[in-house]
Amino acid sequence: MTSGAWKAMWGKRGGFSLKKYGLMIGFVFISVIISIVTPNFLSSNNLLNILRQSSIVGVIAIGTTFVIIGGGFDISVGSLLALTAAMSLKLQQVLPWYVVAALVLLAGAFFGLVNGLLTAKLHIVAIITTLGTMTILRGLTYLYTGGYPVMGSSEEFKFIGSGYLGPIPFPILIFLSMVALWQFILSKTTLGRYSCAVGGNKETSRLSGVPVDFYHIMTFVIGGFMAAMGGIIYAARLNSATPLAGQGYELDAIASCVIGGTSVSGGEGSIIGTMIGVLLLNVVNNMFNLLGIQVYIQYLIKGIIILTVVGFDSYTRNKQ
Amino acid sequence: MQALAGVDLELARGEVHALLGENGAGKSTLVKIIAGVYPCDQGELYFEGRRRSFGSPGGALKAGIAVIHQETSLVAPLTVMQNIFLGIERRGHCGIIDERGIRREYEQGCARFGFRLPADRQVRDLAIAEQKMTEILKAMMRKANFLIMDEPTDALSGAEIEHLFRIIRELKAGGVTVLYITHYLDEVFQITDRLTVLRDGRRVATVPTASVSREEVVRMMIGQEPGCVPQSATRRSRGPEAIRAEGLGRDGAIAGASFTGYQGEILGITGALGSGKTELARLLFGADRPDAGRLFVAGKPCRLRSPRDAVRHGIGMLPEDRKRFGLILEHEVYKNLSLTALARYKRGPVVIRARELEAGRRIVEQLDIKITDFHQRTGNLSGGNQQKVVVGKWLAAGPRILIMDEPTRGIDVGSKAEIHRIMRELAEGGTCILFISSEVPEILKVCDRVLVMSAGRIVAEYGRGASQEQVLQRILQGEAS
Repeated sequence: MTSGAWKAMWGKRGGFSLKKYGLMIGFVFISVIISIVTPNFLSSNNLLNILRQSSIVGVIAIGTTFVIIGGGFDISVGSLLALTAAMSLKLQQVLPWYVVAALVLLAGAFFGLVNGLLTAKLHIVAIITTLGTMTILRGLTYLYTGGYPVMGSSEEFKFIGSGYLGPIPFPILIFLSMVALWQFILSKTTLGRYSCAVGGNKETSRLSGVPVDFYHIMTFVIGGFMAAMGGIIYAARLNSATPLAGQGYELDAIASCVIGGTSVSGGEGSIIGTMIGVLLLNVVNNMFNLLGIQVYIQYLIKGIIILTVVGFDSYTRNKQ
Repeated sequence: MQALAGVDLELARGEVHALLGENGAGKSTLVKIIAGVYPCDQGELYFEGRRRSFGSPGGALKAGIAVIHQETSLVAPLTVMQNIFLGIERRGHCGIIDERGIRREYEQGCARFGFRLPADRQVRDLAIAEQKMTEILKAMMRKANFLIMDEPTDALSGAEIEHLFRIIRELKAGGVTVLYITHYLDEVFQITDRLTVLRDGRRVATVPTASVSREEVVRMMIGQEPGCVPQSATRRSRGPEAIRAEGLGRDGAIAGASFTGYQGEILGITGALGSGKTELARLLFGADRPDAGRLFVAGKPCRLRSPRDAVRHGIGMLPEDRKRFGLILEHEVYKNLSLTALARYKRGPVVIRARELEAGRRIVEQLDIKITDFHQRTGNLSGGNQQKVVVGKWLAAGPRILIMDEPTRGIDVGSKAEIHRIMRELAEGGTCILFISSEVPEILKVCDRVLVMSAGRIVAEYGRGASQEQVLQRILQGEAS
């Protein structure tokens, strides 16, 4: 039986394909190995720790998944995280925390809108659009903070980043509920379906009466919104934000999407896949930390994981 | 499943040999094995008396076997000449490309094979016909002596087909062998010496073309008596006005197009390549904006700013190029089928999968689309079934006006008849169908009225009973003036 037939077979049941199962199996496999190699790995503390570490990049990666599915690319989210994190703390000097949180989310959506408009209306290639806005946002962050870390926030606000509901850290709950929400939106609403359609074939979608620019822009808005949410969690967790915050997060987010099976050419992907992608990267990081291996080597391993997973997928796809 | 089973095929040097069969009969597989794209797991291939097996298309090309694909395989941003010499550029000292030498060779080649092509135009700016010519010249410059042509006339006008045939005859005289794949039986009888029919991966027959009739060939292809298309003897009663254009124009494409389409009617629009048929379709669908004239839908004036507006006004369009503009090939069949009407399957903001699949199932039954299941990748379907999915996509939206741009291009005889049947059913249900085709016999068979376009203008209108000669002549006249 060809892998295509396998895919079709699994496809009948709730849209899960072998590819996603393959990733899941790989993830469990790696986790089992790690838990044998490092005894501390399976302790509930450590597991919660991994989830908490995953939650900020995870939230960003959800937005990035939408952007990539819609046929775009967004490398400005790391800078946007820095700006929104700084805003969440600094604005609290004059406004109550919940107003600030709402404003920051709106600001994130706004910057996403700018990315979307530049890409969809001026037809700038998305990666170049966001290269521009990435630089601008980083510059704005420096101007806004004067180059110094921003500190301090209310106790309620800190709860977002470091609070617990029962035994579970609050950021994990945010992350998991966002995964559930956006997976639902992706697979069950017109917003999700049309985002896939636009990424899959823009002209076909346009000629089918889909308002393609609107949905293309919306994916960027979601990207910006989720980056701002990442910024809020970041600020609340560390209770400080430096202008350098979030550097490289955009790449981790993209890597997570791609490992999770989102097609770089657009049109296909899943939020659950992205979640597993984020967890996979963090589990491996965690293992190296537990084993006391140098940070520098972790970069190499991360790169190798990305190339292995994506390379395997591209290779099997090509063979079909 | 076996795509091809024990097919014997022997071609003589300098022969033009037709390879026929419905979609899925195994033509493409056979061609791909010959050209080194697929390995064969049984049997042997002899070329010029020697047993060969080409590991790659490059290997086959080196041996002198070139394939002219249905879809162009040229590099769009490069010029005609750069494309033709791609990979075989003549080099001077230090590997620098010898432009002058190449140009000389190019001109010699053009003269020898009777081509006239703009050497320095970018391929992306060429008409499809010119692209095809470029590909043939490219193969010839590589000293190919066995050409495989896959539906070479698909996008060509009458005059261009004549030109192509002239070239094929000249190549043949020069000892080049041609394997000619087509759906157009007329061409088979015009140009080929012998023909081979495949069905379900097996060879049905190889016979000299002159020894068989059209009907016999069709019977061999579909394995039974061809279902005769019932032609409505009387003119269907014409419904109220569905769409009316008054002096519609777009700079450089369409000028002063005025016509009326009625509900329950199939209105044909024909003309040579570049006569403005597709451009008119795009104007009517809001894909391009007109800069002159007015459009009325159901008697009311309307201004279409986007395809979305058109869909809102009950207009649908099957674009000319279904793979690029009609389908999302990577997506599942059911997603393509619901693309135009997703909002109908919603409850609140949520798309109800069950409703969506139910609607899809009805369409699949109605159009008899052959799929193994709804989650099948649309790109894996055959051409005819893909086109039915595009039709089905619009059925879901229930348009009152359906523009169909070359809906039967590149699909097999059986699917073609089915598309015609579907069109007739839709018209009987009150839909106004604008049927665009460059195949005059098809237009005359299916349509209630025919408009002929030339150089962006509607130059003539014919009712039922117009003869093929009449219409063809009008088209050709238009080209000359």
